Amino acid sequence: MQTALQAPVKRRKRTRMRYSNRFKVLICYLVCFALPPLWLLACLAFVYPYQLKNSAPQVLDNLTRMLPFLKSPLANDVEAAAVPDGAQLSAEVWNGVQQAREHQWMLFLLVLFAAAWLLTLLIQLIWRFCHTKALQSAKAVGRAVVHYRISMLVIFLLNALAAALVWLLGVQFISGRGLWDYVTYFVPYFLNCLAALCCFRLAAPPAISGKKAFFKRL
Amino acid sequence: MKKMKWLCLMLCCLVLFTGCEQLQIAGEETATAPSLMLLDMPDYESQETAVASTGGADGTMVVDLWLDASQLMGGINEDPTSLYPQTARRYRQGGFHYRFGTSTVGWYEDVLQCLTEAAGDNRVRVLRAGNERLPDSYLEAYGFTGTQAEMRSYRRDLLTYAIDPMPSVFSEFSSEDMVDSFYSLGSPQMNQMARFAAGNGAELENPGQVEQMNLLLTAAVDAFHQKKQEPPRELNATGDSLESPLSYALNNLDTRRLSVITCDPATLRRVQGTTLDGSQVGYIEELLRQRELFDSGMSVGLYALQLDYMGHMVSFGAADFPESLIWGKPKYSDYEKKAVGVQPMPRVLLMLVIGQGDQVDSYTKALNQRLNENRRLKEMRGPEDGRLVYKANGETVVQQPFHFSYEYTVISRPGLGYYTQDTPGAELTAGGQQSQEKNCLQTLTLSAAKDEVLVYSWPAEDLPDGVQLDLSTLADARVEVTSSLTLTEILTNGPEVALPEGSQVLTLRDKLYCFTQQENPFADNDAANPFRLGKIRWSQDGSRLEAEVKVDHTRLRSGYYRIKLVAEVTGEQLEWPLVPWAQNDTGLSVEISNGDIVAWQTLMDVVSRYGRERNSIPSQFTHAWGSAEETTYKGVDIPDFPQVYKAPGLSRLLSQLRDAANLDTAPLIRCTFDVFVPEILQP
Repeated sequence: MQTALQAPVKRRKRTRMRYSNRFKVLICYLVCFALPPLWLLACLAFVYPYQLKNSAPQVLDNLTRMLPFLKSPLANDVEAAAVPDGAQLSAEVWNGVQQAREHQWMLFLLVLFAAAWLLTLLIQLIWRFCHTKALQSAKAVGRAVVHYRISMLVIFLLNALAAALVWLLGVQFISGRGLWDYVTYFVPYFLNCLAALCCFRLAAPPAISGKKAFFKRL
Repeated sequence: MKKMKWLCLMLCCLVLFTGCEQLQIAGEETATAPSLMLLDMPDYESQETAVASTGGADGTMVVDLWLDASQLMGGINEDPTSLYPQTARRYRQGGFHYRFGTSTVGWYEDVLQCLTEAAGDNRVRVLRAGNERLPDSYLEAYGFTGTQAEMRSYRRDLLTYAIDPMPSVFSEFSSEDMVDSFYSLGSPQMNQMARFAAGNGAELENPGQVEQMNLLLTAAVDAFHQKKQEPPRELNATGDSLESPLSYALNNLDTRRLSVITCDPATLRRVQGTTLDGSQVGYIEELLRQRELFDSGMSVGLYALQLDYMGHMVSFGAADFPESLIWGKPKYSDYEKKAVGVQPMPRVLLMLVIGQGDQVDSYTKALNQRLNENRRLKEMRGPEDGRLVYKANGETVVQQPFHFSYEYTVISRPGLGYYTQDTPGAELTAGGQQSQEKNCLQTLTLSAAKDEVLVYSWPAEDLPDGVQLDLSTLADARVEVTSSLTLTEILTNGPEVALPEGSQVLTLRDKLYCFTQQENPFADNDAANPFRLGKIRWSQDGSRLEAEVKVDHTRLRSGYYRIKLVAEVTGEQLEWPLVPWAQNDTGLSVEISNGDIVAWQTLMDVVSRYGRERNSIPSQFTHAWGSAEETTYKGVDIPDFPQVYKAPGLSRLLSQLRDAANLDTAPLIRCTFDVFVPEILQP
């Protein structure tokens, strides 16, 4: 009885997507979000050995200077990348130092980028899954646009922060840095933002997208 | 409104970014050039072999005592027609080894005792080196064949007189019965094989051949005693200008043993000659070089012993006399009509102690101690009351009693030092900058900004006593760059860049720095060599040897240079100290000129001729030509009596020993080090 007296629940129906549209969205995501890591990997694999070889900074040393609480856990790694004071500087020692520096620099770049990339993707996907309902579409689109702008700002700030860390902890100490340094180390973060922007605008859920709408439907 | 929000948001972002300034951290800039520490200069492998050790004392020293058995040594005049008396009651001519009665014996016998005692418990072999010779052809005729060393070994066995001699062996030399004594030419005492027959020669170098050796020696002795026939020339070296007991001993001595050779200096007829081209030849020096004594690290101790002498001198150096010189004589009592004592005169006996440096040092030390302590050697001897006189410098010299004395010096190849990078205390510096040990060498890091002077220094090694090394004219001193690993090319980095073969490549960003190793890089172009040898000198306090290498910074290239300092030393750089007792005019040495020989022989011809006519000689000539009161005899000037109390040729002998010991060429410096230029300079 009680059930009968209650107001009928309005069930929000999910907007049905066509498979072709789903595929296009998937492709859009894949292309947009694959490009930044591929760019970074390609640069590290093909540009670094020929343009930036042996210019890795002492990133962990700089990191521990910035965040002193990391000093003790990273002490061994920092030591491995430092030129020993007063010791016999042999070719082996130098080789070891350079390899350690390079290894740490690569790892730092990859980890930092992976974090920025994942967070960017996560924010974008959260936005996407928050705007899939077709009810009161005009209002929903308005809210989606606001959320999109806020998300993009966060994504931009996030990537800017990551890029700033790359600059602060590494690139600023590279002597003779040039175009290839910027292309390798900063462009992926720009591409992250661009990928998020593309996915926001081109792969928005069907409920808020349309042919001539703010969010284009593929 | 919306725009305002955006503007505020952008402003916040900018404010946030200004915080970056606060995050500025003081990190290290990366290198602007590749680290040349990564270059792999090969480790240095020492190619210098250490100079062979010349030490040789192994504790089992065997001493060979080569005794001069010349007739001069024994004071023998074997000419039966001599005008001088041959014998006297209780006395026979004995030279250094005279004996009068039962107790008066020449100091020489005491010296012989000291020689054997100085050997301590070591085995002593006595060998007889007289004027007899046993040439190879003679030995071969008796079946003794072999190499030069084997022939020498046979000869040593044949000359062996006694092994581990008792004092009585030396006493026998000077017994009254001087017929066929130790010192007579072709003496039957040459053959001592009977002593060794018991063990079939087990004590000899070549055991089991005693019988054959006995046969050979018997034949040799017989050859010297053939009636009305001169001894065969090949067996007799008497009068041979180039042969002496000393040279015979030197030619046959065993270089594995310590050899002590006694030598009457009057038997040294010629120690020096002149070749057709006018150059001087030292016969003793030549012999020592042939035997390679100094090359094998041996030393020679040269002794000059002033002993007492009494007897006939049939020759003196290259001068042979028709009538012998009488030097020292018995003291006759006109009342008793017999000899009642002796009046020996001083003469110098030379002695060489040849062996490994340590052995010579220890032996001479022991010998000197015994010579100093021997009671009989402290006695005064000689004619008393001015009985014996001679003429010297135109004046009569009255011989006074004299005492035994000796002088000695040791000659060895001077160890002038051998300075290498491994010499303890070696230092490499440049303007106060010290080198570091790297690639098994001292490595000095140089700046290419200015010229430098590298100084390699070593603690100065001690030179032999008195020997000085003149560094101003070192032979063949040079600095060589034996190899280098320098920057030769800078290439653009890329996947398909062709790298020079064998080069070491350092990569930094888009550049490949190619370093190439070269052996003797300046062999063809010395002008490009940045290293030049400066001075090699002693430090101001003389404690270190310093070698300067000047560096022209404009010719330096990045990388490593391996540099070798080389300097040779020759005998010309050596300055031997003066040995006053042998080389001063007032010393023991005397030179005999041809003029002296002619004057002496002319007088003795006259004395002999007129003496034989009268069957006696004038009293003035009964000893040492007497006083200087008369200046002529039968119209012939009476020259000074030969200086038989000195050692003819001693100075030359010493010079030849030194010349033989002197270095032809020896390495003084062989030092390798690295210079490292860490800056990148355009190739």
